[in-house]
Amino acid sequence: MIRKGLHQYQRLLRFMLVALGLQLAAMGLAQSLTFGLYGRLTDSLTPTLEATLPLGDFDLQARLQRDALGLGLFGATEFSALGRLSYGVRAGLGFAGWGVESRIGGTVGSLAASLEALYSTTLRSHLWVGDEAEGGLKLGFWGRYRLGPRETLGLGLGFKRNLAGFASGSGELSYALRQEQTYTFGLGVDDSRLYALLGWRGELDEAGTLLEATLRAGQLGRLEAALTAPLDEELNNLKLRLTVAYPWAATLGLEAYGFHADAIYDGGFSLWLRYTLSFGGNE
Amino acid sequence: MKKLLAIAVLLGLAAAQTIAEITRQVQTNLDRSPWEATLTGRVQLPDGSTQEAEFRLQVIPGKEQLARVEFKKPAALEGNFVVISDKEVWNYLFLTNQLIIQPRAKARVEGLGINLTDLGDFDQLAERVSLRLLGEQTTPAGAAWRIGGTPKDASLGFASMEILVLKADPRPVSITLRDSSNKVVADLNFGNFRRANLTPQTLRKRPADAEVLRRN
Repeated sequence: MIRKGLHQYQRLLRFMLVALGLQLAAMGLAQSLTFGLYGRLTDSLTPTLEATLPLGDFDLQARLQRDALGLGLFGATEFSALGRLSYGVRAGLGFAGWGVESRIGGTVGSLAASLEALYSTTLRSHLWVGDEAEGGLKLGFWGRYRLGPRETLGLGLGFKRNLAGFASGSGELSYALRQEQTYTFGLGVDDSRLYALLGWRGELDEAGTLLEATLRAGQLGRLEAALTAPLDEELNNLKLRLTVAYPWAATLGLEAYGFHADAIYDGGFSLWLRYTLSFGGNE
Repeated sequence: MKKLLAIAVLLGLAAAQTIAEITRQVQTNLDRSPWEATLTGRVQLPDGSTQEAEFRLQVIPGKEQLARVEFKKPAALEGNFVVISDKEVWNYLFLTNQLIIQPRAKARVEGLGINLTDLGDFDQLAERVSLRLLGEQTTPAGAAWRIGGTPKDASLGFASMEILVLKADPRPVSITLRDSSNKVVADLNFGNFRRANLTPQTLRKRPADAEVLRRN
């Protein structure tokens, strides 16, 4: 009896989530709407919907999926060429649990920094399919400081305490030299595993096609590569992203004209297809 | 006495006509073809410190005017650029690889003691500032008109300005802005002025992977 009631409650909530998404679209309030479909092998399909709405000087962002709803509020203060400050909070609620997160970041003059704090009672991927399959507390900091006009020092620090109560930390220090291309060198530690970092970023042709590749190798291994090619003067790009990591995990992403496709392997296969409709305004 | 007053009024009218004529000549000259120049000097940052400045200014004049300002100095801004069109202002921040796009009417492009949008558009400068001819001066580039100005709108961030305009090739060669206590907030010289074959694509060039953020 209780199970039947719960099932009906779940169906009702699903209906409400879909109805809310359609209502927002119909009201024409949204600045952007992203429709998606996420599927994981041997699991059922999950439709996803993201909407960004203006709310005074802020943007309200809503995320809906089959079994969870997330609401976020984001804002920014611009200082023209001198920099900017952005900030935001988000809360998610689903059948699996709840989560909150806050971020603040900005750049002024020679310094750029960002701070984030996340907490969830379930895996964050249960609240939003695009988030990592980790739960509990996560604190992160990254900063970049210009040593000179073409030299940048980077620092990343992280702390996690997962749902089982295990804590781990991470840190990464890097140095980037920008000539025609940008070369990055660094050292890092992630949960007691040491690694070295090598990066390269540069344009491949006159049209501005840009490749960025970063290799982290040592007691862990991860290669990240992103290729971006401008498609037109409307700021449309073709983006290809590839990440291969050891212990084995991989992602392959494709993005063009508002269409996103992400194929993920993290012990199981999943595919996420999305399409974004933009109506102007903040993004 | 009446004669003196009449002469003063006539002289005033003549001076007004002269400044209008100079403004027209400068705008006609700058509107002739795309051009670029390097601005060097010193600017006061919002924290009150005065820093060495070097910007590259590129302008495509016309109905759909487009201007790009690339920052070389201060070192903290190297790699940043601003693209200004009739409708939008693009602001690229190198450290975060972000391109912030704002409507022209809302975008703040001040903050360096000088409104960057005015540098390539003399007509607009004349609209925002009451200009008057102070005299003439010899500069390394040749004889120049010395023009003084006071902002019509107090929000421009300066109390007075002085521009030297080259007589032989009517264009600005230097600009000095002062605050209400007569302290220099920006002092920039226009160097390496040249007509250039600039296209909108050249001026809108940005790193393809920059995160694009539209702010309304």
